[in-house]
Amino acid sequence: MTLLRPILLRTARPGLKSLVRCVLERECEASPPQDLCEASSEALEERIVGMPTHLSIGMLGLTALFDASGLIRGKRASRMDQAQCEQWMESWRHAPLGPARDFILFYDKMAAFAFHSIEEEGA
Amino acid sequence: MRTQSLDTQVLVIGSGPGGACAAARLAEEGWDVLLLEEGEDLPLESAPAYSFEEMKQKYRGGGLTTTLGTTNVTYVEGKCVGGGSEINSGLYHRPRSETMNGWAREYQIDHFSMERLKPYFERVEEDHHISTWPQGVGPASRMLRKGAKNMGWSSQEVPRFFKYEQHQGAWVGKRQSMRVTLIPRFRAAGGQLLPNTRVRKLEFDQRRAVAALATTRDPNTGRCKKIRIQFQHLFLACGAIQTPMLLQKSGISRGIGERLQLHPMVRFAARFDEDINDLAHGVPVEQIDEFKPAMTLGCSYSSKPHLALWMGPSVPNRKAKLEDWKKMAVFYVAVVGGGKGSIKPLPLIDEPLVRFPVLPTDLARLGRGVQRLGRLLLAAGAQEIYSPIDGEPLNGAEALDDLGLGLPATGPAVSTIHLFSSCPMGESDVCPVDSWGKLKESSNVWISDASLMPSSPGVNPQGTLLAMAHRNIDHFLNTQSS
Repeated sequence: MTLLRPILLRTARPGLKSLVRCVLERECEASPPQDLCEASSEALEERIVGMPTHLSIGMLGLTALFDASGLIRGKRASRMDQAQCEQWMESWRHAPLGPARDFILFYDKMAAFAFHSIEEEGA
Repeated sequence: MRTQSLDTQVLVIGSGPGGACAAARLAEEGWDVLLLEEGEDLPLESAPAYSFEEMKQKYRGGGLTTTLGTTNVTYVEGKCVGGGSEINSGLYHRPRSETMNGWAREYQIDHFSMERLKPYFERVEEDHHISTWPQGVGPASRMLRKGAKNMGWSSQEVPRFFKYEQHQGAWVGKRQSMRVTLIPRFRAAGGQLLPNTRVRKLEFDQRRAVAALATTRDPNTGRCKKIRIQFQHLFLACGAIQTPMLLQKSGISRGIGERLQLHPMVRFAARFDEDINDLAHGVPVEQIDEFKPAMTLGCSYSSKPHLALWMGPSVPNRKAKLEDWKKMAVFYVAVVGGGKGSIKPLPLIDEPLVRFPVLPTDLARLGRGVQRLGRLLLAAGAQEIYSPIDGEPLNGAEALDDLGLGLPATGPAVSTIHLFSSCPMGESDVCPVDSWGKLKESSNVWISDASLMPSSPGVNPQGTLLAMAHRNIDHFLNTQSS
């Protein structure tokens, strides 16, 4: 199980970064500073890896799935432009499956929490 | 890897309130006690209180742990010396007499009543400097008080595990966590503390626990070594999730981890036209009493990151709104949940699967709580209340009435900070632990954490847990000396 985590993390990282960017674009209604965006992604990645193993693997798996499922619309979520990625996130936010909605809620909350913590505390 | 052997008279696993109490009391009575803690030994000041950094340092899983079910409930557990007492709000209550006496009747707990517990509560209040803020409550608490008065509801300032002292003319409060109170007493009495040590399994010889198999990690090098600790008596105080998991992994499962209960909670933000947020006062201490013990309404620590966390995703341009963060605060509704969850060790990984059903009645009660608290805040002068479901601003009392019909099963972020009842005590058949905290399936294992509580205490449980731990240790000492 623990061997699976680094493999999943590599696969999930582009999706994670695009999810964090989408949340922060909405948070600021403008482009957030690049360095804060990067730092927020890294902090969130660290926290996801630190979650209990089964939750961490589930979250990384869903993140990778979110990214790959963008292919239904022609390209991975991480390759979409900002507006397309936000739209893709919105469709997950209103998905009929509870885990998909919870997954987006997690990013909505934790990316904003990480961003403001880093801005306030330099965490 | 070579396994090191250790011997002790009493092994205590877990250094939160129940474990610290057992360890300190036994060490002071002259017993040879070894106290194990999975997390690090960190001072209170190692990270700002309630911060992202503190979550990383002192919370299990970085604070990102959740029960699974139709409605997931995120929960937190302390993982550091002092356990939950290092990270919680430290609010102190004596529970209602009816609740304690009801536990005694329903679960057949011998010699247990509020009257009998009274000296233990007094002891806790003295040991931990339970007190109120000497200069009066902060602005968010005053706002809650004003709203309660306008609604005709009762409210109270809740005392805390805090010691207040004057420093250069100003009052300064210091949290009276276990690392500040009972752990120093334990050490002064000659007790040995081993942090960064996780017990993986207990060994039994028929009904008697004989050894704990653990892994200890050097925090500087990251290197791990295995240890086997032999003991005469074992006190388990790993908390309501980890204690049942350890017992189940060790082959003890009858009645263990089947009746987990918690206080489901939802939070939402509100904005006023004046400053109500003063972080210098820490956690706002006013609670609405009117609907207790079934429902507690209050205000949370509300730094800018916490406001962002709880405002909900649908607040556009939240960053700009948060420029006015001093006019805002996070409010909570906590209820006594009706469901009973389960804890099972997962195969292959050393983690528990925690399942908990948030019942439709819980969601209905949470919705009514949001409606009541929203009305109170409007009566206190709130300009804007943000929905706990998606963060949309709620316009007036009518929008609150819709929420009063009940929250949906998915959408609102339900969380909890109080977990208990996974190994309830009493002589009743549903209880795996006897009236004094001893595991019925074993002759020398005691439990000393919130797992013991047969059901919800209806209030923040730390005070009740400490009083019960003192009571059970007194009984242990009396029976051992006789």
